[in-house]
Amino acid sequence: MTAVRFVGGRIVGALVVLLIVSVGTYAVFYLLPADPAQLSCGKPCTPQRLADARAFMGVDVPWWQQYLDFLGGLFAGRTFGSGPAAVHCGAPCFGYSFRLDAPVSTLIADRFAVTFSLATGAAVLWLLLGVGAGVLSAVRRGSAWDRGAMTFAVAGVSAPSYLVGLLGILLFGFTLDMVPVGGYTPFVDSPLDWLWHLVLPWCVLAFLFAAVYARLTRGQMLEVLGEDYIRTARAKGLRERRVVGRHGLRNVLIPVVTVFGLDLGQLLGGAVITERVFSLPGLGSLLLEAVGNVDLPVIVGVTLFSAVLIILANLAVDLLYGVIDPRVTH
Amino acid sequence: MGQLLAVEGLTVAFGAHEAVRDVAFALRPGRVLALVGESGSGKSVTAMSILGLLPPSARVTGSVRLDGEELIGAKPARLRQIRGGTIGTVFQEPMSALNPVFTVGNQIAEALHAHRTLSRAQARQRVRELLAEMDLPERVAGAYPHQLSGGQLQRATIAMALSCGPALLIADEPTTALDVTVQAGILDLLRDVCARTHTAVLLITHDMGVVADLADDVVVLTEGRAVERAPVHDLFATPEHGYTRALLEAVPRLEVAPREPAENAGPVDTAMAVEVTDLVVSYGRKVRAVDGVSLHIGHGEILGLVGESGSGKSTVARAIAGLVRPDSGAVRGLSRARTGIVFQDHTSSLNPRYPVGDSIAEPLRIHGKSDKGRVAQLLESVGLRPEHARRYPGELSGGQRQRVAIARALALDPVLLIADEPTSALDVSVQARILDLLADLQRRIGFGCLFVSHDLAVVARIADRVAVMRAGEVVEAGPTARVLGAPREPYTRRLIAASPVPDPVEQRRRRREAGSVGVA
Repeated sequence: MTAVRFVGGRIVGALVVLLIVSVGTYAVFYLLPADPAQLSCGKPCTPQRLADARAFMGVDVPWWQQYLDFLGGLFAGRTFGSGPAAVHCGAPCFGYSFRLDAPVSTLIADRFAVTFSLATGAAVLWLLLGVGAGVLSAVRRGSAWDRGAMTFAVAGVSAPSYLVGLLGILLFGFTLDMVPVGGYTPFVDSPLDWLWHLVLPWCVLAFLFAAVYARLTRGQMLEVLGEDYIRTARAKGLRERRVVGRHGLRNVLIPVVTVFGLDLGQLLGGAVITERVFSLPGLGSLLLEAVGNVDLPVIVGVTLFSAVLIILANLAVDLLYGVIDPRVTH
Repeated sequence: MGQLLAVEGLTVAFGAHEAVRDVAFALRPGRVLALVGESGSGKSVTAMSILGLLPPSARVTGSVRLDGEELIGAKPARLRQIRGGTIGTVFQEPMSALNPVFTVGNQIAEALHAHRTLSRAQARQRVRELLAEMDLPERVAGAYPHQLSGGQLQRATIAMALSCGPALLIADEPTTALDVTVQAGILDLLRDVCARTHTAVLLITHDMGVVADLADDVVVLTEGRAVERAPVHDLFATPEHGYTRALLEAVPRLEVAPREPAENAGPVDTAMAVEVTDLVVSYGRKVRAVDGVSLHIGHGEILGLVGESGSGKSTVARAIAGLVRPDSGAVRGLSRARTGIVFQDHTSSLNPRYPVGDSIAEPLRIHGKSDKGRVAQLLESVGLRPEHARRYPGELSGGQRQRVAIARALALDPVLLIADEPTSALDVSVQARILDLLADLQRRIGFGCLFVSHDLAVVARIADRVAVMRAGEVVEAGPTARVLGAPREPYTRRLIAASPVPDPVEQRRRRREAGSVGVA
């Protein structure tokens, strides 16, 4: 019963946050002085053409009406203009890019596969590397391994992603010629090529993130290993591997999962710099192009989509808490 | 009969510091041996060295033989078999001794699987049997630690420790974190189960009442040395070593002889230092911590407020101090500036980054008074020297820190001193000195004092009147000698019956009586 209330509460909370974020995103971009109709009006832009464009885009009504139309589009889709020139944007309609002549949701869908491949692959790597290195460092505190791993981690935490990315391309792409220097092949076209193009970006991202996870895991593990229940576990004759791997790790995972949810959510919304460096056509590149072209519907759509991902990731973390830590739900 | 455990010349060193020096004792099967000592005496280190669970920085020499087998320097795999297999262990804090993310049944089953080849169903069945033996309901197996009370958890850890039928049970302060009525039940359980299964017990405790209750033989440790070894009756009747005598003298006793009024005289006048009427304090919507409490404290009077954890005694103290807002009721006759407070935890109640002189001067500065000379005077009044003002809390002992806390509480010449378990975190010998100090200061300065404690013996020693709290209400109040000597309420009687007295003859007689009338 408490579990149902817990889950229900978290979902309602996520929906409320989502609504607030949608207002905020919409307001920031549409209340800016840039007028989307003006931008796509072309030259010469007569007042009549401008008015037509405004009516077509649906920006000739008050801002709150625009917002409600936008919100309605998310659930029911919407149609811009009327007659034969009308364009339809199916639900969930994140907006319509008149510049690219495509619904924003289609643009996002095209690019998301790239970002998803990049983010999840890197996440698996950095979790394995970061948590693994952190646990080893904690168990062998003060050893050469510990000092080495933590020095490496400082480098990972402080190095900027474009530098690591470019150095990686220089070394593995050009000098050693082991991997392609950029680009992307969809998984369905050729799994091997897909893998080949992503290995380096994965490693670069994993290196940067694993550093944070290694330090976090090490610190938490050292704290947990000092707890009374660890002493109890040893006193009942468990193997050290089980003491650390079961009694220790389960408690260490609680804070790690928190950070992981946020990181993954954020990355799924587009790794702007990494995608740029490796010429990956993901969400981050889409956003960057849209900003360059002042393509407002795309900016709003991608931003909102990223926010949805982060909120979903947070929701997943909250629900996962309930599984990992029984004190949360009971 | 051969020895089950024989410890000889045991020395444990951390760097240059020897925490245990040349300790020797022996334990026969089915007997209870108590290792007694104050903090830092080396009693827990001794136990951990038997289990091979000291940190790698410890250097252990000497001999620990279990059934003739040498454990010092034994192979890790062999030690692991012994831990949980031949030696079960129960620790002090049941709340933190179990892993919060696994069920209790799961953790007991884990101990079984570590030493026996069992199917999951067999393990579940054995867990159920063990819990039943500990008088625990079956649902405990599926519960997480935070869903159970301290007493239930300690029963569960005892079940875990005994799960593989050990020959020796090490119980390290097994009841220290528990209320007296719960403690009595745990002690009964330990005694019965170990007698039935013929399990020897190495009991580690600072509590002479627990020793008197449970032990057959006693080893007294101080500063890492075993200064006295004796059967329990001899030790209490004719302690030989000076330290043992001092320790036994420092233990507060539940003495019920009427106190001489002159002894704690001072200006006991009829004017009230504080009067509380119909105090109600709730936490959240559901929990009523204090439910209609009325009490008064006269000038120069010490009121002992006793009760078990959750009884609301600390909340009453906090409400009087103005630290929590009462829902209703009145606290009269008191301004905040004239209230001094001493808390239980001397390690966290002083800011570790300030010299203690600054901590004492702070209330003076806040109230715009000069602290020139006053800090030195306050330090001297609590038995410290003026130069202690420049020390940091970390450089002082627990007793010294608590003296500093008392000095700070007295800085503004309080009409009322609130002392919330001021000696619970201290060793008995230190506790005795702090209690003497408080009584002496109270006699000289004449403040009223609310003395909150779970320990009836401590209250018996210091309070003029006693109020007994249970579940947010005062169930009985009156002069100390009357309430503790001739209690009217069944709950007060149960509390008194459950507090073990530091006298093996008397304690065993009380236990037989309690057993026959079903008080536990």
